[in-house]
Parts: sequence; structure tokens; C-alpha cells
Amino acid sequence: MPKVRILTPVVAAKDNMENAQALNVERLAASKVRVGLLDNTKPNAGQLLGFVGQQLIARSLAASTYAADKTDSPASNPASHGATEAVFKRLSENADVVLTGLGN
Amino acid sequence: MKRGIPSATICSTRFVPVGRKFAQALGVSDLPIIEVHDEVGHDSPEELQKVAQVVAEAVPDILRKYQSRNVSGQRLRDEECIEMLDVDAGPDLSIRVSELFLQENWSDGLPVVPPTEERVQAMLDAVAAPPDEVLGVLHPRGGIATVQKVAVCAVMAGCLPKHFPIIVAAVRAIATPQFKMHSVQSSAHPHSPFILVNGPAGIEAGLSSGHDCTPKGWQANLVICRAVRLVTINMAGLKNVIASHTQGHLGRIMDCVRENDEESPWEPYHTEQGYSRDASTVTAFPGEPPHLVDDRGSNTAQSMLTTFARVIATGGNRSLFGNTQQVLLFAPEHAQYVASQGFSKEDVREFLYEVARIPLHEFPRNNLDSLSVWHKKLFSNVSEHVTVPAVRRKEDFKIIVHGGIGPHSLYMPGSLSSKPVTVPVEHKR
Repeated sequence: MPKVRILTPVVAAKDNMENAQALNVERLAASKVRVGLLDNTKPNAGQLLGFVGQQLIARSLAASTYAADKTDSPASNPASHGATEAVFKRLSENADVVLTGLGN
Repeated sequence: MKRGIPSATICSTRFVPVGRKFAQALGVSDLPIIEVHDEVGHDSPEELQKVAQVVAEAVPDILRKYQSRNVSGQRLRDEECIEMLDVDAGPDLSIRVSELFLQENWSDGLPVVPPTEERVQAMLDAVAAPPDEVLGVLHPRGGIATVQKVAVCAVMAGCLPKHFPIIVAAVRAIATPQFKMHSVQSSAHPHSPFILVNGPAGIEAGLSSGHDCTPKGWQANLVICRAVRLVTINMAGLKNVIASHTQGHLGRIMDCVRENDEESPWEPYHTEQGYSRDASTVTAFPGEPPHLVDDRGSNTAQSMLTTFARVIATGGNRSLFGNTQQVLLFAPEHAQYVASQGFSKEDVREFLYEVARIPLHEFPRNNLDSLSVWHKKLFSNVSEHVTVPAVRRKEDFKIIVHGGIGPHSLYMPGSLSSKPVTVPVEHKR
């Protein structure tokens, strides 16, 4: 049977780790960590994260918590947008590990 | 995590598969996900406390994983980038290629035209851009959309070479940062690229502006839109991921039209964007499926536009929850009547800005959390009789004349994140 050559729509993907920074796990070496709580602005996310922070402190799993949200986003509804550079900077300065939410 | 901060995300069970795919596409495939069974949006504080307990219990294990360096960023391993395949020739070639492409998730489910080298080359010959030119990177997958790969999709969709310049322009438009394909593709909100063509390129491509109800008259509209859809599946989409949109998009496959410039009493859309009337452009709008605006009895322009306003201004319209651009596809009959009463496009926008509003108290009380941060700030500590405008600025109403005979216009709500983008159609020099 003769063959026919066909092209495919498969594409290469852009390097998804471009500009990625090395994970700083040294900061977790201490017995207690500062936990960042990033509200993704979905309903109840901020309140849930607040409760998580309280529980982590009550269980001595966190030394402190640092709440952040995306209200400085230029988007009117920031849930589907990344946090701004300013938020990332504040989290980096005030937290050793960050919890956030995805979806509803 | 890519900023160097150990991180974890809380995710309800139903969103976990999507979350895993997105994490993989973003290079953090081993991002710890704390699965909770509830979707917490409607939970009471007591229920949230229980969910918080589940999350808190998962944290020590996550910290251990990070401390033992079991979590790290990873480059997305591309599926083997197969450029071409040799398949048996024969009378059932189309069926076999369609089955193979569907099996590989390269197709939309309909039969495809086999993209042979000759057919792809014929597409490439219709544009000036070289085959390896990158039209853009389509997120969330981060697929690199070259002219050649877009041509493959155009062949698969059943396009003719005369359609290809429009498809190239459409891909350039949806790949821009303003269009935010990432959000269009990944949100549960059902919205999708709606393609508007202005100028001679639309006529040359055979695009219907709404009059021709025969299949032949709609062929270009259908296949151009399908080609864009195949591009988003193969270059923006995440393989094997369940649909992000709650119901998909029920109007997606026919979402390409030409403005009915011939019957419009107003200046065409692209001239409002700064292009000359004889220029050819493609505009990509992030639109929901359209809603009908039916008015056959109004005897003033104000009355007719109030009908439009009532369709727009409803308490469950997500488009009102943030900063959106909303599309009004005026039937020629409606546009001509409103214009005959002395209304320019600007007057229509002005009127709708004032009238298409909802008193705050008409938003379902428990749904106020869906309002944008901007709305929450604006409407905190104000009377419930304050009205919410459908758009923040009157310019956010985008007016197009489209369709044939009949008193039926369409309203297309927009996206909370993505913005319309207009680009020129480039012809072969």
C-alpha cells in the first residue's frame, strides 16, 4: 500500500521554567515557619485561609501567618490572574511557605 | 513556587485534575495539592473550620516533602513532537486520519481533512509570513503557534487558502497579552474567541455577514472558526484535561462573522479602532454564547434601546460582576431604526450606560460575593437603591451590525479578564 505523508498539529511548548528561581527550602529548617496565606479572591477563600492559619498556630506548626490577597490586581476580578510582583515580594519577605487556593 | 517560595494549594476534589494539569503546564507538576471534598464558596464558618482542620493536618507532610527536597520545579516534558506521519493511502484515508487525530486529542471530534504536505503548502502560499514565523505563544499550555502549524489546523478544519490570512490574523489576536487566552481557556466561565472580520478580506474569503442562510453561504464562517478552535485545542489546551468551562461553549463553532457594512447606518467597528474603512481587520472578542434581543414593536429609539438594556441588566449576568467589554450585534433593521431617530453609535452607548443598570438590591443577596473587588469597594456602605451600571465606561459597549432580515439582535456578554483585540489582515505581497 503506498503511503501518504501528513503533517500533525503538535507544537513545541515555550520553556515553562524560564526565569524560575531555585526553591529556598533552607527557610523551612527551623522548627516553626512563617506561613503566607494568599487569598485567590474566590468566595470564602480568605476566611478559610484565616482559619487554617489559626489552626496552624494552635498546633504549633507555624510561628506566625501573613495574609495577602490580590486586591491590588489591575483586573476587576483577579481570581484568574496571577498575583502582582508587589504581592510576591511581600510574601517572599514575610513567609517561608505559602498556602493558596485553586478553583471554587 | 517558581519564585523560590515553597508553596501548596488547596483544591476541591472536582478541580484537582484541572489543577494538576495546570501545575504541570506551569512547570510545577509536583506542586503539593491539598484536596478538600467541599467547594467552600457556600460553606458556613463552622463548615469552613472543619475544612481548615483537614488542611492544617496536611501541612506537616508538605513541609517534610519540601525539607527532604522531594518537591522541585520541572520542565514540561513535551509529548513527542511528531512533525509528520506516513499513513496508508487509500479511499478511507480521511476516516483513518480522523480516527487517529481524535485518538491523539488533536481534533475536535468532527472528521478532519488530512493535512497533506500539498494542502498545507497551498495554505502557506496564501500568506506572506514564512512557515516558521511564530504568531504567538498560546497559554495555558504555552504552545508555540507557527504559521505552518496553524496552516495544518486550517487544512484539518476544511479551510480553503483564501481563508488563511484571516486565520493567521485571528491567531495573532488571541495570542496577545490583552486577550489573555490563558484565562479564556482555563476559566469555568463559558466564553470563547468570537471572531469579527471587517474590510475587503472578509468579502474575498466569502464570509457571510448574515444574509445567506444556505450552507454554501456559511462555509467560510464555519471553517475559519473551526480552524481557530483547532489551534486553541492543540496549542493552548492541556492534553486530556477535562473541560474547564462548565458547559463548554454552545455557540463556539459558528463564532466567526463579517460585519454587515453594506446595511449598517453607522461607521464599521474597525474604523472606531483607528483603521481606515478599506483596511481589513480581525477582532477577537472573548464572548459568551449570544443572547437574543427581540424587539418588533418599539416606536421610539429609546424604547428599542430599553429592550436591549433589559436583556443586558440582569442580576445573574456575570458580565456585570467586573470590568468587561460587551458586544451588541445589532440586526440591520434595529440599527437602521435607531439611526433614523438620530442616534449615533456614541448616543446608543450613552443611552445604554444610563439605562442598562441594576439597583444593588436586585442582586441576589447571597451572590454579592461574586461581585468584583471594585464593586465591593464601590458599593460598601451605600444605599441599596444605588444602581450598578452594566459596564464601567460607556466605551465598553462594542457595537457591530450583523445579520439579515428580522427584528432580532444579539447581546454577547464579555469576559472579566480578557479584552477584545483588533489586528490587521496581512495579504501576500
